[in-house]
Amino acid sequence: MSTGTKARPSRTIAAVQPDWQIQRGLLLKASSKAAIKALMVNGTRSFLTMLGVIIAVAAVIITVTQAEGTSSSINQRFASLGSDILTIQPGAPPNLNGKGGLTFRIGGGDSTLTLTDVTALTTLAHVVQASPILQTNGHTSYQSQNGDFQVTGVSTDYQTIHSLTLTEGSWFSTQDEETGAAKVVLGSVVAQSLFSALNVDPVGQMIRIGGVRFEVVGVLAAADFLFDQSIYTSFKAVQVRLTNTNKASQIEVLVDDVNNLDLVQQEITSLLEQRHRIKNSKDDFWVQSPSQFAQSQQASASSLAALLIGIAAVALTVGGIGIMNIMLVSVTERTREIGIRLATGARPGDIRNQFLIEAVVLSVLGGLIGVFFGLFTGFEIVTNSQLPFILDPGAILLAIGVAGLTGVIFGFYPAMRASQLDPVVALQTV
Amino acid sequence: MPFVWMFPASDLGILLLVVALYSEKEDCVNKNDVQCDPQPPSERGSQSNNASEEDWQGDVSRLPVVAVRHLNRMYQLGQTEVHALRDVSLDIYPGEFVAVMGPSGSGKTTFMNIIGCMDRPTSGDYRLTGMPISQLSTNQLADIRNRRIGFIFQSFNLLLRETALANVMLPLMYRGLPERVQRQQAALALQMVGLADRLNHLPTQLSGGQQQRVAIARALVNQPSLLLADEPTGNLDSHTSQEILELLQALNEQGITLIVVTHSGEVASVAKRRVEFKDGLVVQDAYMPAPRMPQAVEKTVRQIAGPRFQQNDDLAEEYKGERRG
Repeated sequence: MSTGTKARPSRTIAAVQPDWQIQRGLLLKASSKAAIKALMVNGTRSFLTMLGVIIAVAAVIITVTQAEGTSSSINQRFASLGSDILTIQPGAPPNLNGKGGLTFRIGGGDSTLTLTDVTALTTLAHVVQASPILQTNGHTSYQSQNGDFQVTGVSTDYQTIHSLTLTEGSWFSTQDEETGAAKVVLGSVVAQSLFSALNVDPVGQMIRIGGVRFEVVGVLAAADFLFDQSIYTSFKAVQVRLTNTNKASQIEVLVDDVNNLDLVQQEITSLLEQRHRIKNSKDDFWVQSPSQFAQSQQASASSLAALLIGIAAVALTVGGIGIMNIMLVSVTERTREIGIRLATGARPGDIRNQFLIEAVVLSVLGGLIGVFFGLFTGFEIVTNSQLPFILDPGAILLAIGVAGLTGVIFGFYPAMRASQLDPVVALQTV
Repeated sequence: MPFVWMFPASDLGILLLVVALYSEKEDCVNKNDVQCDPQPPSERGSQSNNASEEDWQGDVSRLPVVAVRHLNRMYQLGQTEVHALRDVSLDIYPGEFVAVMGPSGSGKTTFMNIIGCMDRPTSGDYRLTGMPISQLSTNQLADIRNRRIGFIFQSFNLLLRETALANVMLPLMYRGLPERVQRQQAALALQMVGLADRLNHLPTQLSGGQQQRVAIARALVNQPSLLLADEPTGNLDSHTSQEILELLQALNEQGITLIVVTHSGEVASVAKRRVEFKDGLVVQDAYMPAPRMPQAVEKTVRQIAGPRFQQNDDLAEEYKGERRG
């Protein structure tokens, strides 16, 4: 634009002339208008051309929406399992750098974790509570009702570690824990499947687990499915009455603050290495922390992202080729128009910009429609699978941006062809 | 707030320039684009290999609008080489009305394309009001076509999807004027050719004569120093042809240099000078002693010349007012 250099109106031509060049610019606004007009005239064709980009972008947005919903649902479930809990698993640590998820090892056959380990862990700083866990499966029956459920032997602390609430009855007492009394707390699903058909109050009833009689003392409120489908009793009860082992299949430790997780993890490792007399760091246990879980989540998320990028690249390339094809047709059809524009003073760059803008408008518009279509479909899919719907503005902007870039890349060749036309030849074209 | 009224100020500058351009022929298209040389070519010497120094000796007071020397243009058509122009040298001075005639394939259209800066000669020199065209870049040629040359075609060559107004705005757009000024100037040009009431009609809604008037308005709107017409009446009936010819003649009377390529004797009869091409050579170049003057010319000239300058002044006044406000 004209700035301070232009000033006094002068009678000499030379003094005024620099304004001409400054004024001209790239004519982007005029070119955009011409491009939109040209696209409107060929409405159906423009739409069909955009369809490639629309489908590509919509597919990406749908997948992103679904992936985000799934991962957020996993994160929620994990949060319900407790973000301030460290779990000590027996055996060598699994490789978490891979792209697979976590392997939950169940069963204490080769476990070296003992009850005295648990007692020792509770003495560590920042450890609020610790509970051994001994899991087994047992065929459970009450009168005519029966089913196979997981039986989990825990300490009384387990209830506070996981903030479990009961709908009726009570958790087994410390005394029960010491004596290994045959008293169980049922998960909500277990209680329902054993008792609801008979319309009997579970508390006080005797059930059989693997042939052994247990008294139901409490029923848990519905929580996560892991809790709902389990039967809880004291560690000793499982040890003595069901499995006959003195090792724990896991130990869970409640840490006072999430910020101390790493510190406590190190403390546990050194304590247990000392207790188990481990040298060469070949641990027979490993500490699973929420951050490790998050890492494995990220690993699977990044592999999903790589897949998405692949899909998007293929789809947008196909869409871009469609745009290039139509732009080439359009340049051929409008050769005379290009000739007229050149004759009236358009520079080759103006012609190039006009067609480039046309391609970009096509692809960005396709991207926008694709985003709306993708969000709508993604919303339907996600809500039908009862996953949360999460809007990711970054993904949307990226999708539109990449669509625009596709337009630039694939529109460039036709635009260059248009701009390199000879005005004389272009005007002779019928 | 000085920035706010810089815009109208610069517009005013352009308008002053537009007015100045028309009254003064010796000017540059763009100070930065084209080397401006107020000296006549004869005092500067030729930079072309083909044109020798004395070729440019001429009447210094009347610098030719078009000066070509030893112009050659060859096409490669498959194996054969077509010699469209052979050593053409010609001067056309301001205010001339030249009919370029000749049979098909005589090279007259090639000549027009080179004069119109749409094509470049294979060899030879071409100067438009003293500017050596052969040295200009593609963008500079585009700017020359934009501001110094107006084209009128046999088939009108209007953009069919655009209104008459938008078609006439096209050269102003490529000149980079603000849209408001484009509209005003284009409307003015259409008013000059008698289409003030057809601004928003599409070419398909106009008769052939009206379409050619729109094309003439488009050619005139940037106040070019040279108007090139290629068979301007070729697609029109005799009555409409007469109208267009009168319009062209009126424009010439007003001082516009006009070159018309034509087969038609009728068109040639109103020209002041006749240049005949044959096989790429100029075979005849003669001034017509008494070009036929249509009755209506007197009237049309007044119609056109009157509002043309007056309106520009009005526009300039308007901008001045805006600047103050």
